[in-house]
Amino acid sequence: MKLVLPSFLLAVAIGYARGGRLATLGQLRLRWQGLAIAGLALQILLWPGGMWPLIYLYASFVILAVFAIANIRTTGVSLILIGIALNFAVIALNQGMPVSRAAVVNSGQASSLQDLVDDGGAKHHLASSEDRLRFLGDVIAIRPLEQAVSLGDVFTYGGVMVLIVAGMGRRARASTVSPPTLVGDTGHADG
Amino acid sequence: MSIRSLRRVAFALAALAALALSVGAGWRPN
Repeated sequence: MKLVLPSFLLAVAIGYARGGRLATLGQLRLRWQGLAIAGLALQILLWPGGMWPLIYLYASFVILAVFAIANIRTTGVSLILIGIALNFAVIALNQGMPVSRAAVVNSGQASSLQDLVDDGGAKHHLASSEDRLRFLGDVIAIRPLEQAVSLGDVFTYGGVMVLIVAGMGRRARASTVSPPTLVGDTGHADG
Repeated sequence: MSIRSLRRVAFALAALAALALSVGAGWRPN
């Protein structure tokens, strides 16, 4: 939630600054919203004790991709789909998301390194030289939020923020509306 | 904002939060 709450608050603030309204977001018609909830529910089953953690993780990404494709025409969703693809690629290749030691330390989470090694779960593990596409792993340190995120995360959160801002709409400004052109006004400029 | 409108906004935000958390929570997801 350390990443979700600030990004959502920032998106809502930008939406209001553009003249949008949160109520307008309620008019947004996302198809199959339940799939997003189902994707998260599957990942909750990844906690220790869950069965077939990797299968649940992969199935979760497939469900999330279907949700994104079903809503691809909605502003911001194409960015989310790119984020899903990037994260799924690196997770599928490495049977989990490789997390860079440097990113963990630089994000102020050095004390959690041992947790990552001992109990990273199915989704995360400490990156090693055997991991492929390591640059797509959690390599970006966000120190103020104590998070190490991936390029896919950046696309996903960026897309969600764009979706919220666009979904809040924008109040039309009267000054931007062109007055009707008068027939007699044309043709005088050339003299 | 009406209760109905509020519910729609809350459900849309919940779906987006679930999506964001599922795709990329980063280490560590708390």
